[in-house]
Amino acid sequence: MDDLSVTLQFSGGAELLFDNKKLHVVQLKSKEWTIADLLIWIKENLLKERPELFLQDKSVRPGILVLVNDVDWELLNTVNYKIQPNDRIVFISTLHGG
Amino acid sequence: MCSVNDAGDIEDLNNTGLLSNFKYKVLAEKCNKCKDEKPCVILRKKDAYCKSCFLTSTVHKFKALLGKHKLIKDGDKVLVYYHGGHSGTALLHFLRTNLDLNSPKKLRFIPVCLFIEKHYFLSREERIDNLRRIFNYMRTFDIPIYFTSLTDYCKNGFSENTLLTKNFEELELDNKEGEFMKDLFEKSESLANDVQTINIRKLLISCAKKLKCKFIFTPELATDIASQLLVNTALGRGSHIPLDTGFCDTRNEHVTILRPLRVFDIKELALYNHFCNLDAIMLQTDLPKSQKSIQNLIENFVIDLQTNFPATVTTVLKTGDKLSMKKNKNENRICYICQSPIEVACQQLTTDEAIKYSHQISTQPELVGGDILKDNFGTVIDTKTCFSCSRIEQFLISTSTEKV
Amino acid sequence: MSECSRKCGSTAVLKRPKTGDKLCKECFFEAFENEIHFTITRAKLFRPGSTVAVAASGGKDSTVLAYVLKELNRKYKYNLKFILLSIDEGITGYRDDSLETVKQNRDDYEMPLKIMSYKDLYGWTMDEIVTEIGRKNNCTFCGVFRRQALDRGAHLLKVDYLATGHNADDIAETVLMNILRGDLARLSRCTSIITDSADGIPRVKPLKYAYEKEIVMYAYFKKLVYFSTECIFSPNAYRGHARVLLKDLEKINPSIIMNIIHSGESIKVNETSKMPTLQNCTRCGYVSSQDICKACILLEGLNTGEPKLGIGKSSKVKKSLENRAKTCCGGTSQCNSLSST
Repeated sequence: MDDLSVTLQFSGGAELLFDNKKLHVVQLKSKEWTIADLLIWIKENLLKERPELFLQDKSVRPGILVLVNDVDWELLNTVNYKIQPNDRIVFISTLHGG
Repeated sequence: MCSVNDAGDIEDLNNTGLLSNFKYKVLAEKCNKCKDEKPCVILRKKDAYCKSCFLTSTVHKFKALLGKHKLIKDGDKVLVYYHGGHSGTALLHFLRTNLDLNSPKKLRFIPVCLFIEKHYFLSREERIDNLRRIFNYMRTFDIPIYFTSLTDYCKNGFSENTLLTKNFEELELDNKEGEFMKDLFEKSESLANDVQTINIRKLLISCAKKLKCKFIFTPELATDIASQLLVNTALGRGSHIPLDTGFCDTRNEHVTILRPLRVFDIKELALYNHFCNLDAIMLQTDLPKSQKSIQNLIENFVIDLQTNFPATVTTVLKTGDKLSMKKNKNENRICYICQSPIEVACQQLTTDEAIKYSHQISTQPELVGGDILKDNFGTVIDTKTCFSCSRIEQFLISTSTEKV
Repeated sequence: MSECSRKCGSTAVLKRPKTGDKLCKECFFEAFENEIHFTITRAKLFRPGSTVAVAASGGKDSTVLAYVLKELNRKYKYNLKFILLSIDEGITGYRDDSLETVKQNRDDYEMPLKIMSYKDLYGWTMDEIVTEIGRKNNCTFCGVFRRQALDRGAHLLKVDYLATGHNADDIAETVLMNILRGDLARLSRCTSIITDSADGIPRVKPLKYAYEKEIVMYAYFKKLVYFSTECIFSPNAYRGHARVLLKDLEKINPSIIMNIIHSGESIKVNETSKMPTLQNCTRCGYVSSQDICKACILLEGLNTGEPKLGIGKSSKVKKSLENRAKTCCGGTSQCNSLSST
């Protein structure tokens, strides 16, 4: 199996937890990846600070929207979705101020 | 003891299932609207839409709400209260893409934006950074923006001469002015928040008048409205619910405040912004959200309850929509602090009287055995404040006298 | 050691949750009792010479209510006669003990006692109902039956008033709950201190402005006997949320309880909103917003092996009843429909 190439996008203030970088292209080691697995990977490799502001239990914190290729992850079984090569996963925070 | 004391709670038994047991309806195969495309968005756990239906229905919802009330005439100026976030950006985009004075199908009023600087808990650099970002952001929408300072307004005794400028650098951001507000917050967050809400409203109206705007748009979302309704209840402002949470706030005879986003939730607008490739500005937040204020407690309560019972917010909104202001046959005295009508007692014994009696009986033993019917226990006819603002009056007086 | 706020010279032993004043025991008793006297007098709750049924569950609210009413009646010469009215739902263990407490109240306060049981009124105990329908909707049955049982009891006793022990916390919680559920009809009525029953016996809430915490403290310091346990069957889910919210708000500032009651009193429902009109149940005569009252519907369901009949939206219930009416024998007592008690 090849490595899985995935584009991650953070916005709505979530980028503040990731070095203020909105776009991350990542390579995941070959295996079956679900979003649940990806979240663990993100925690260990990308999250620069305050994991509790992004993650909760095995999922994202309530108030963080997730889209896979512009489709609401609630239509894709949320954390159980199996990631495909070149998927674009967007995390939009609705928690930050205004 | 059993807590079911009134004719059973029958209808909402449908509502008692926890969402963890909730199964998404058929993991929607087709868009609810066009029944053709595959859905890419699901709202409130049950409404699935494809991208184009989602975008059109979101814009339609906005226009429909404005159209339903038919208040704004062609050419009227509207002050748009902007304070960042997804709601602010979506509102600006709705306006930008649907306004055209020359086109009969489009909205035909003139928007003007206002940003109220009130982040006295941030550092000077952070505050200027916020202002600069907003200034630049507004250029992309081609809508004029004005800036004003809340502390300035309060410090000047709510003067009409408070600075209102297009140039944000003219604002005075000396943190010392925030000291008074900080004291208030330390004493009672809930009351301080209430005071701040009232002052912001006053300032909005003052600026609208100066800019000759007949209307103000404020960006409250459905969750904000539901929270505000409960906050009003908890503060004793139940009688003001229609004004504080309805579509219109008509307390001022010259300027009407409208809440055009009250039917939306934040997920809708965040996704709308995303699909329109809009980057919302997230301002530096100031006060960390503590649980010590009624407002934060209730906001968290509503959000949590909504997660398990997705009909919560809409139900509370509907409750509010069915309430109206009491019409007093005699005069309509207005509270000088919040500009709302002062409640007129319509029962033999009011809560206000009961509270005043409690305070007195706890400190004056000589009242025992007195003629209760005759004694005037605080039903002051000449009162200048509503029930809730009388507490604010005492609060403000006691805080300022402590400072001296 | 603090001094009592009423400057009586004694040391304060408690801080009033309602006002924050520090009071000695005697001054607290006086303040607590006089507030209830104030409520009764100002709200004109009772006409002198009347008979009042006091809803007695054996719990703290009804025990304190009965005790204080008796005290105030004596002290301020209301000239009232009291009867304790208690409901036996037929829940083994729970009700047996609380009924013992009510009997104790009867003896201690020298008030006559009348016990109405679900078994007598409806033919079913709660234990039997739960066996039949399980624990999901049992609170619905109990709540509906209890309310009717109290009204029927008051009617039987031919009293002038029915006094219940609803306290400030209960009322505030009900306001919140009715907002959350969107129940405008109840929202507009729940803060009324006198609720007119269409059959003529008004229900009054003398403890409307008494804080639950103070009721507990009063009972404790006066060494009043009462019974307190949670009902063994599951409590209603939505009310639980309202209760948690109220308790959290109270922690921030106890005056919020009064604020909420004031808000409930001050709201006005649109004239155009659909509010149920009251009529009499065609089967048992009890007051209801429908042709057939909720109790009769629930009973019909129980008696015909379709216990879900009364549960759910009233529009669906109506439809279901209409379907049943098609099979009804038209009053010739040949079908299973409930006959009036």
